[in-house]
Amino acid sequence: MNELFFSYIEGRSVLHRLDPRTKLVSVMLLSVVVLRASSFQDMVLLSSAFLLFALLAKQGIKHHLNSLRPMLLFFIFIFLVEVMFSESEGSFYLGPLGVSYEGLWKGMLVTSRFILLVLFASLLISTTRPALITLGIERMLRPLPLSLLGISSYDLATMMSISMRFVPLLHESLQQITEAQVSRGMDLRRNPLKAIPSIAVPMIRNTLRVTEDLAMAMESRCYQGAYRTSMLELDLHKEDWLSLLMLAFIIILFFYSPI
Amino acid sequence: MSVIVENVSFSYARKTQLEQMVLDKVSLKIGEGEFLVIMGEVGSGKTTLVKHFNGLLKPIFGKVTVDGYNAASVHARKLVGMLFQFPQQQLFARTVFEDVAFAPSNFGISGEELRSKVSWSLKLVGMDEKITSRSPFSLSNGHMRLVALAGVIAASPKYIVLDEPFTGLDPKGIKELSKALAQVHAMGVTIVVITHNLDHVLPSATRMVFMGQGKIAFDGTPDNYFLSTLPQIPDIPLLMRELRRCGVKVKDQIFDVEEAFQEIMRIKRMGTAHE
Ligand SMILES: Nc1ncnc2c1ncn2[C@@H]1O[C@H](COP(=O)(O)OP(=O)(O)OP(=O)(O)O)[C@@H](O)[C@H]1O
Ligand SMILES: [Mg+2]
Repeated sequence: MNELFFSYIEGRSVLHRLDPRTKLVSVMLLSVVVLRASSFQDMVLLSSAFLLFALLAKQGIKHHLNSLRPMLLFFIFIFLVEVMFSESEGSFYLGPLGVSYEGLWKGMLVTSRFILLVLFASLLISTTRPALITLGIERMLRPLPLSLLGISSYDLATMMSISMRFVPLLHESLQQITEAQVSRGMDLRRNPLKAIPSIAVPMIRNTLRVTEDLAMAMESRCYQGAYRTSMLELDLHKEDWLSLLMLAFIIILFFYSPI
Repeated sequence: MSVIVENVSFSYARKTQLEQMVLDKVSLKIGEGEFLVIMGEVGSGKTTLVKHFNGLLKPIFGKVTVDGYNAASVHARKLVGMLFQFPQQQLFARTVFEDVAFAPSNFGISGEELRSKVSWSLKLVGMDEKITSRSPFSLSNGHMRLVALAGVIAASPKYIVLDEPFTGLDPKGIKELSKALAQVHAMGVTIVVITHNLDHVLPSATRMVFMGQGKIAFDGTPDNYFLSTLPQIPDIPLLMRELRRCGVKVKDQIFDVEEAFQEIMRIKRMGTAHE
């Protein structure tokens, strides 16, 4: 079992007790802010906000940093793309590549935006039971006229929370397949052309099989989407209003900051 | 020449709240030509232990060597072939031939040598040559596993480690696989098998290790194991042990229903002859 990242961790902190809707709205708003962040100060402000929240969640930064690990390649990739394809003239050369300081800065900015997004998402997931996330999303989507599209808010919420639940599972299966192929002498660095299909093919087959199994398991347990009743009820408390207020304050500070 | 595990300790998720000792100062020496069966409770660290044999996991304390090489070295990895619980998950190539050829070609074998290696290992596990051009995904569950085993054998390892290879196979698949294992063992390859059901490998097993909570609780011959009070003793040896305890003089080395039946009939005949 690999339960080390992107999964719920039992706890009793303030963040655990907040209503899932509060946390969902907060993460969405914070994501907008993160994507608009463009200066060094912005990044410092947002990172401090993250540190503050992590402190409140009483889980240690380590867990959240672990969530970044599976996406390391992706971060490196977007960093390199940004550095290589930024417009301005190269100011120094790395091999045949012209690299400008501006490109470097842009690469770092874009990469740190993604890192912050993942960190905030990790915070949400580690402090909220999956069932509560689903319920929160469902309640928030209920006013939308989704039935016109032939789906219910409940279906949509279930799909979202299941996909989130699958992240650690997929990572575990990736690890198993990699171990099996490494045991057969696969070498990703020396021979990527041969190594990548040897991981990708079983991975895709696995994923398809797991989703099929899950769908069947849900149906055989009489999953019927919208007709479900819920075991949990949601209520907004004083803490929720307080944290939303605090968040509003951070965002105002961000957009109208005097610095 | 052997696999030597010296005082190995290991835990997952180091320095987090989830850390727990999975292997606790385990020492084990696996000699050439052995057929070692590893049994033990769920979560006792069997899989964790064998992943040290080819360096997939590295010990926190202690040392693992294979024929004198560090287990994490490329050299050791060539010596140790590993087959995981659902080996069909590792199949990926378009044809059975390509899949079996994956390991040896990674270790630098090509051309005619590769071709003969592949057909040799398929034959060794009892697979028909005709399937080489088929897609590995078109095979039955049991045959997929035999192909995966052939894929490990094709790299000519000295040691083959199998983690619960029998799970999910039907009786016919189990029989084919255990026959293949006995055959590979007879070729001089050292075999290490993790299993919950000793029945499947009993006739070939030369040694038994039982793990409990990260430690080795028993290490000895299958016969001694049957005399112990450990759980998971298969039915027939258990029956023989109980008969012996009641004074019935049954022979050693009786593992399956057929042999037990013959033995009981023999004793019955002796009994009637006395009267
Ligand atoms: N990747 C991992 N991360 C964290 N903990 C793990 C991991 N793999 C195994 N463990 C834990 O280590 C312990 C031993 O696991 P291991 O898989 O070695 O047991 P096992 O004897 O093979 O059990 P089984 O019979 O179920 O296969 C278990 O408590 C398990 O929860
Ligand atoms: Mg295991």
